[in-house]
Amino acid sequence: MNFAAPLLLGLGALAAPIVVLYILKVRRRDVRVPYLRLWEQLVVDTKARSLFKRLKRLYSLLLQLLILASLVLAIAQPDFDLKSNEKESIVLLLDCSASMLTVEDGAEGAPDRARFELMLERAREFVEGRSREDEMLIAAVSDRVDVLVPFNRSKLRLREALARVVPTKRALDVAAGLAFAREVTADRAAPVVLFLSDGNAGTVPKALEGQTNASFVPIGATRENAAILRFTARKNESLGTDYLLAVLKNFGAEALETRLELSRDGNVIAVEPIQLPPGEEVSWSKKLTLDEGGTLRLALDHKDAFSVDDEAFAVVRPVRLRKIGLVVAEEDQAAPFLVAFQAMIELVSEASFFTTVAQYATMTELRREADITICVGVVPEGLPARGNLILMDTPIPDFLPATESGRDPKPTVWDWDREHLLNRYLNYRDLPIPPARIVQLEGGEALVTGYDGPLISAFDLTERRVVHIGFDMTAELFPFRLAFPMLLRNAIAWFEAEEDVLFEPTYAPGATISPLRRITDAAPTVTFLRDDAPVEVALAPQEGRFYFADTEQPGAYVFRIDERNYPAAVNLFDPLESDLAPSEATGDALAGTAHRSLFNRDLWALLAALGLALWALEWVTFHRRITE
Amino acid sequence: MAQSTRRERPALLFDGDFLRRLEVLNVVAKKIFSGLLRADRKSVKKGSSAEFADHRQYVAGDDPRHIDWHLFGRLEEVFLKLYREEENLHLTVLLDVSESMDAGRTHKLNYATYVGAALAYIGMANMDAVNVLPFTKRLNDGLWGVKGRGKVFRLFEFLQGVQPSGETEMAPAFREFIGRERRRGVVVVLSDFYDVDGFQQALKYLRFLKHQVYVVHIVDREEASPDLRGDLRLVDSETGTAREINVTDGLLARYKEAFEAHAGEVESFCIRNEFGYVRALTDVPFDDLVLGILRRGGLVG
Repeated sequence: MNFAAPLLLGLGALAAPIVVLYILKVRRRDVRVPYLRLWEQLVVDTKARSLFKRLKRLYSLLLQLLILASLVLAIAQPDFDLKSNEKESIVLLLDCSASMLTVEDGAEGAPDRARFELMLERAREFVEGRSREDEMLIAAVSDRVDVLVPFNRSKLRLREALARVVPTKRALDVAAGLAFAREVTADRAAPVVLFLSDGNAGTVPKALEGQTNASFVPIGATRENAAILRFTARKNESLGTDYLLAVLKNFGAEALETRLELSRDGNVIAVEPIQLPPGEEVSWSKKLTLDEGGTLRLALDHKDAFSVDDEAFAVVRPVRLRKIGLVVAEEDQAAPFLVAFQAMIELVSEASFFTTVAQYATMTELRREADITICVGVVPEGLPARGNLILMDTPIPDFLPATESGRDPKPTVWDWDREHLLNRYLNYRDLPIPPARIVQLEGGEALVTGYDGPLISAFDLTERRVVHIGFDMTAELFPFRLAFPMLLRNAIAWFEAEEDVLFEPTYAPGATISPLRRITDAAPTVTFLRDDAPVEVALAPQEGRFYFADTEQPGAYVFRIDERNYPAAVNLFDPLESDLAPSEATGDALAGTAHRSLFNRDLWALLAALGLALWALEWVTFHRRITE
Repeated sequence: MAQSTRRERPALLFDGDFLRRLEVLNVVAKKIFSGLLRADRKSVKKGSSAEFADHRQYVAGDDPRHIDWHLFGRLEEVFLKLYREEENLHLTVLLDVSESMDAGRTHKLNYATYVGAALAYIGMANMDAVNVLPFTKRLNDGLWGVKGRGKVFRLFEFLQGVQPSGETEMAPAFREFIGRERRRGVVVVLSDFYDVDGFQQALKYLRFLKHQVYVVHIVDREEASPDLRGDLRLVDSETGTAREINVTDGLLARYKEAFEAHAGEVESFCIRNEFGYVRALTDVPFDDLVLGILRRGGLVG
């Protein structure tokens, strides 16, 4: 037996004053009586009992010493830990990731309980059972580590920490949790790390392999689960079509036949059957035209123990008509462009215009503003400050990081960037190219390169994007005349990406959403659902950026900026969280300490109760009568 | 009754208020005595030597031996003859001033002194010769033969000087008394009678001289029913003798029985010997006690 507070055993020295007080107490109180003889007549009878009374008084002393011993032992907190007398520094890592929300079936009529609750229950048992000399740190681990209480011996504070912890819908970062544990226990003499988790598809026990003083305490037993692991909506900017792609997986042992429900902005637009064989991933896709955009929700019509991954969200950007301004040196240069615009009627706004350089100079600044200004042969004065540019066979303007070094009368394509959006569907191989300007790039990127230099270049400036084409694509060469509209569509798509794609396609729960580029709106808002009720939050951007972190709940978050909606989706999409299969425990630290704790917890209380009971007995038997 | 240390005895207050209370007692006593007292007194000295003083109407209950038959013959009415000598009564107050009278929560000695003072005052106011004699195991210095209301302050002064001391031994003290006071009279004994072996003999001395004896047994109520518990060291107030006693409920009950037995023994002894007896509880106002004594007529029995 050892003691949690051995120094307090020093209180046993109080036995000395008790004995002294006892001696003082048994010194009888003098009472003056008028006539002692009356008493003496009676005392003769009581003499026979004096020995018993002396013993009785001795019992009083013994009882008092027993009371003291009981109370001192209770305060010193005896501990029957036969394993070790060493004071431990325990790090209790609580898995607060999404999978801990899995509901486990209650055994034999007991209510169903989430893994998170089961974990807290075990953690509480553990905390109650530990020796008060052990110091303990409790941390909640999800995709980050939150210290609930630093190393502490106060059970009250540990209990409070356990009362504060809440589950999340985030993924689990096992490495971060263990790295944290290693760091905080680096200078501790007897560190013990306990990871209470459902195993995170076996990653937790695997990470703990070979680590002494680190144990995995498994929580939960359920394994059946079907999940949506990926769901995206992609718009073909060139064709204006939306593709929906999803990946699903049945983590259970039995085949699952169910339905997928697709809804846009809360309205169901499709329901399709789907079969999910056990252990296999299944891809699902759908082609739609969603010009108006919106938020999509894909849901499995199947109830399982873990519901977070049974639905997924994606956003579809609406199609926006672009105002295009065409500035040509000569009026007849406009004809092929106008034909191309006719072919792009779903992209081009009626407000678009074409003009010659001379007329352009007379236009108001407001009139000149356009989403895309196409300059053919010349760069006019007074270009608007905003709006993207396509410069075709024009001199290099000052605002582009490039210079023109001459003219190649017969350029040949040497290579082109096949991955670039601007070159989608285009093949420049063996194409005859009209005479082109020889450009030396100081910035930007070459999309099509000839032997003397880039023929087509893209510039991603701070204010705008610019495509410079070093030759006239509308010249009489047939392939280019044919390809020109496609290049124009691709250019619009590239510009679009800059203009309309403000957020990532999807974010993980708890991630911070921040716009990919600076915004101009001083008072943006975000709207999202909480408990099925819409919530609108005003954001406060600084220097064109804001940071929104209340994304614990998967779903669609619609940001309103500059009177336009920019939706963003939050999804779990973590196969390790969706894989609920229980893992095997490593080590038995919790079981051992639970045994140890039962003793430890109850013994001091029993001793305290014994002390109080003895006190009451002593008082009733002796003190009450003597002090009157 | 019991105290761990001796407590200061409060000073006796023979003030104007006390005097007024005595006067009230005296007036009441006169009403009681008028026509009753003297006739009811047994003639101590029967015979011719008695000086005739007056006549009064016969009332039922009067001793027919005192009827003046001469007057009856002349007037055909029944009168009693009254004698002056019978009025000159000798009243002796024997006051126990032992230490036991000063023990307990109330001071029995003060109470006894007030009672003694009241009786002495009534006696002096009626021209009786009064002795006030403190005693322990012998007679202490006392007041002998004071008469008249004018001596009352001398009486008070004397009583204020009385201090408790010593042990109670009534027999030698009373024997000394009868040796010094040969005249018969009324003797009032004010004592707690903590002389278990000696009080009978003492009272017998008084009876021997045919005194009219009146016993006032002074009792502190807490002395009769002490509130004691536990392991105590009881110290005798008179002798200083100590005894360690564990006072239990059972022992306490037996003590009460023993006390009652002792008081009963005193009372029964008095009754057997035709002494007046009253148990005076110290929480009863002394004038009420005196009034009760007078009304019961014990003093003139």
